[in-house]
Amino acid sequence: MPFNLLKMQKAQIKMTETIGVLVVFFILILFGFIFYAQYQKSAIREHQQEATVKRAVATSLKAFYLPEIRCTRGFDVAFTACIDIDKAEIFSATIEENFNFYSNIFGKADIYIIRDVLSSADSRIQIYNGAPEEFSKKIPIRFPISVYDAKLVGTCGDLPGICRFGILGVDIYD
Amino acid sequence: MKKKSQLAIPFHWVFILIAGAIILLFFITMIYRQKAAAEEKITITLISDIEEIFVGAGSGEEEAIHVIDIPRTEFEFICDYKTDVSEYSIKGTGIPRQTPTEAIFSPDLIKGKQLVIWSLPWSFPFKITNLMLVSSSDVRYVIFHNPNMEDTAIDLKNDMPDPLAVDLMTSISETLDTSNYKIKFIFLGVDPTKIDLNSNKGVLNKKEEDVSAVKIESNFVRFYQKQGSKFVPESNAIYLSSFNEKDALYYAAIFSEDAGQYKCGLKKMIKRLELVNEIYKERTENLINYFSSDPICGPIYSLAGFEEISYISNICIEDLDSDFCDAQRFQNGVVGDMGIKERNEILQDAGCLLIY
Repeated sequence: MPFNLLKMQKAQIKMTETIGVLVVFFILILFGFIFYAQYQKSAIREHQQEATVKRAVATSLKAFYLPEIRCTRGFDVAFTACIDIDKAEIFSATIEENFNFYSNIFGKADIYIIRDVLSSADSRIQIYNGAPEEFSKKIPIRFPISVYDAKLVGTCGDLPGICRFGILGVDIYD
Repeated sequence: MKKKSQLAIPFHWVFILIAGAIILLFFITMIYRQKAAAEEKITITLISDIEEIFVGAGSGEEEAIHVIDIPRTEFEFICDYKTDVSEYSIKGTGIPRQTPTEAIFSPDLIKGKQLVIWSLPWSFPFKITNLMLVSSSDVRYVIFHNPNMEDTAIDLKNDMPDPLAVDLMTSISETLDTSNYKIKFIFLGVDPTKIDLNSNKGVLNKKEEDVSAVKIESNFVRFYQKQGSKFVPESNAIYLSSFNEKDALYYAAIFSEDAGQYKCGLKKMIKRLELVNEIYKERTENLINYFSSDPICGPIYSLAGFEEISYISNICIEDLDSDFCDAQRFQNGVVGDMGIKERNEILQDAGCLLIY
């Protein structure tokens, strides 16, 4: 074999070697990039989940303290964890007229009251229904509450009326 | 043939150069992306922290004060009375949070060491909402008072949250620290238009948009802006004193950037008042029917106060500047002959079911 041809073959082998090293290197970088993208994806998903939980807590707080349905006892002193059933029923009947306003407060959520946990009768009052038709996640939050009914004969603390053990249900959708 | 084999060595170097450049570019891009992502993360974290505070403070029954350290961060608060655009954001990030129902009163720009969020319940006479008063520890509030009103001025100063810089003043020639980026004068028993700022070079040398004033009268609030060496009346807006220990709207007027922002927040409050009022109105209607045969409690219930509030709320939501939007008519619905509050007190004395 002529000497020049041998030298050229050697150079070609060296070049192929360099290309091979580069290819391997880029494959490694690609792997790194895919791994990083996957990590970012899971971090974003985690962040989204965290945001949904925060929104759930925020929405349930807003529902729990909603002045439209909360008990008051003169001079702005509120009962703790108490819903006035009269106000809740009125609110429930009129929410449609002001749905846009309240959807700015509650967003995609379903809020309801179970007026008597101990009763087997259906005692659910729909407070707000902003549940979407399709959703990927639902976070249910339940608050034990006193449901105050002023029209019934009895006493609730030092007030005329009856207090029952109820539940304020808040379902948040993502 | 000799030339071709000689080419292999420079070609080798060209490869290394290209590969090196690509690798370098890759890492530089990564660093920039990481930096942007980290900054965005900090922004989102800060904004969502503030959002959480707004939710907590906006829902609770009691007054609350939150102080957050905000080094090198500037917040913009917008509430446009005319367009109803209401949002806040970290300046320059373009990530705003909408606040369509929250009544927030603040300077338009908040910067400095600490952000102060003060939430105060607003009842009229029943609980309507919480007002969120937001400011910075770097804004200076000057209570400029008539010497006869010193006690009121001291009470006002003591009520303001601790991190805020609040001064008392009875004469414009008194020394004042004017290093703050904004100065707000609160006039008590003094006419702001009579003040000559030539007597205080510190205030005089401040930019006009950085010095403003407010004077709260019994039924309206008047806003002033510095123009040259004078305070010039800007605009008026109605003022509804609340039925709480602390008069939330009084402080809201002090914290507001200008009349437009105050009116924007006030409009949201009146909208909520209208909605809550409707609930109590229907509840009272139920009580009237329920106690129609009761000679003691029955005659005390009345819808007159609710109807008055409902009527005047509608007018004010439509146009707060209308002559018919009268603060006194709101008060008439609560106190006096048809007043909800007075009737509630009579009902309590008579041992009847309360309106609220």
